[in-house]
Amino acid sequence: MTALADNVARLPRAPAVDWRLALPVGWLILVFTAALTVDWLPVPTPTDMDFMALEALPSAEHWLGTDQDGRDLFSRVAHGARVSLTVGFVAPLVGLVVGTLLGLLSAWYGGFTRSSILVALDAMLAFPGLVLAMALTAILGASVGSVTLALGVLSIPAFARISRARALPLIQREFVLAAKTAGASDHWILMREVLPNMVMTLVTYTLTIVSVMIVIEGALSFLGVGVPPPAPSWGGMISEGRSALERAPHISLIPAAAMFFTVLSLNVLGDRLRRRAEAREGGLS
Amino acid sequence: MNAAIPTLAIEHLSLAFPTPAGAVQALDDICLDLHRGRTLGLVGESGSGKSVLSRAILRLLPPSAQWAPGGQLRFQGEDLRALGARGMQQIRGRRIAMVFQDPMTALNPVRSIGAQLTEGMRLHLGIRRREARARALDLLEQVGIPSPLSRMNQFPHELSGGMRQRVVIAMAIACEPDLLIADEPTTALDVTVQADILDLLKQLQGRRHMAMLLITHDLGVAAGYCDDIAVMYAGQLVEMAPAETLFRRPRMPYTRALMDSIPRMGDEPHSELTSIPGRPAVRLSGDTGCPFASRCSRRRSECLTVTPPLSPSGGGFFRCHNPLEAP
Repeated sequence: MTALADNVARLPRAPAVDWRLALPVGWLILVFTAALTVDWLPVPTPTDMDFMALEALPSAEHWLGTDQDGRDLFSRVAHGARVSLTVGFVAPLVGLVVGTLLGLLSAWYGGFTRSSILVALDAMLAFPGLVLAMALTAILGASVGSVTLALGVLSIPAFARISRARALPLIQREFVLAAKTAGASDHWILMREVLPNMVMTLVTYTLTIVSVMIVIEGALSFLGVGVPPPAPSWGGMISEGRSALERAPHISLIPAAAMFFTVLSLNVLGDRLRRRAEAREGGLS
Repeated sequence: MNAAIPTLAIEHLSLAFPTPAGAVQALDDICLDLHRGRTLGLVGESGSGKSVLSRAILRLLPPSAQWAPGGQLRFQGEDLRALGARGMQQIRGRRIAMVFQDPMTALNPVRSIGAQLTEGMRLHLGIRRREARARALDLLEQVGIPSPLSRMNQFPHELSGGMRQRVVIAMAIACEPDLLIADEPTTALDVTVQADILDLLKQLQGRRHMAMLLITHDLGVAAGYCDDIAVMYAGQLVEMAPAETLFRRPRMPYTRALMDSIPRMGDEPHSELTSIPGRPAVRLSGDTGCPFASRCSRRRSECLTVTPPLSPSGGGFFRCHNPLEAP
């Protein structure tokens, strides 16, 4: 009996809630849910104008208040989240796929292939990013698709650099030589031997870059070259609220807060993931 | 396949690497034959060119390597140097396979044993995943891995060093190669499992009638497991003979010196180990004379100026102007 009691006493206590994990995850779930379900919620569409409640403060009717045209801010923030999240998550995928491919090729092959890829990447890195994105959206026309593509192109050099840096030491490893000895082709070695070893690094960086993409999308919309009005986007909403900043600051502050907390949550989570990845990779070699 | 054609036939093969100090002669006039079912031990100090030779057979040399004109590198009668990249890919892994020194680095850390084991068979034999898995299980059993089914889904870090080397061996023999190159297969392992691994290699080789090139710096290993032994020094094969002959009556003073440096059980405790004076030589292209001359106690004046030619002797050959006496 006493032995059992001893064992019970020695059991670890239930761990306290880890707020630094729970808060960001909770916020992101909230944003995703709002973005996905807003059409079924009892709120006006983002373009409905309620002329009885211009620049209204939050109330039961308008959960987050309204803007100068009487449009419901909750509905607009939720719809804006669609734009921000789409751009934020799809654009890095473009960079991830193209950049990783270029990085692998420039690490594996020498000569002309490597130098031409590196020169192109250096040129892209030297070009101011926001200007390049503005130029691309100006050429492609303002839409969610073209903003995503522009930002995706913008993220290629960083992904290529990271994958090249990660691939170079891997290529020297003996299991690559072993694969060559086993008669594997270049394509097989890069995709089956080298790439799986880089996944953790690349995924971590993708998460980190998501928040950067959301901020840049906001900046483009703020400058009026992003997603065209009247479609709501966080950057565009902040911009529209500027004229009423003294009378009704909440019109700008609410989308700004949504963006702030989303970016903060992504950064905190990305940081955690990076630390775990580093610990794991340290044990691999 | 004609039994008279050696699995591996190398004649007067030379290879150099350009360096700022001049072209280093990594392989110098190599001649050897290796037949089906035989094991050739390749013995030498670090840097003597053992690994370069194995990479040269597989044509996995850095692009800076320069072949000397002439010479032959034939595998089952086929000139390996005439093959293109695609032709070599079909030979590597399928007809010539290799076991590496360190099984931890030779296996991909993030891929399961099963995936790494089956891919070679699917690549070379064109068989389906299910069939490849069945064969992989059989292979794991053959190399003495208990409960192979659960091992298939494990990762390299979950296995001990000896087990990993067994997996590497299973990968090497998966496509039933005709030539197995084992590049110091036990150097990275515990002494206690070394003999197990070597016994396994020997047993597989006998069962499958492979030719095996066993690279080692351990003369004792070579003596126990090889039919013939070739001693390499500074890029040259300085002596080659059937194992017993070589140990009983070495002709080349370097072979003798290597044997003398093996500690013996009968030695007094704390007696000093015998070593060869001087350091291993690096041979540059165009150097003449015997590479071992500066460390040799039997040196004569011609040793410094004239490269000793191959002299046949008792089933092998040696290179020396002043050999130890013949039987």
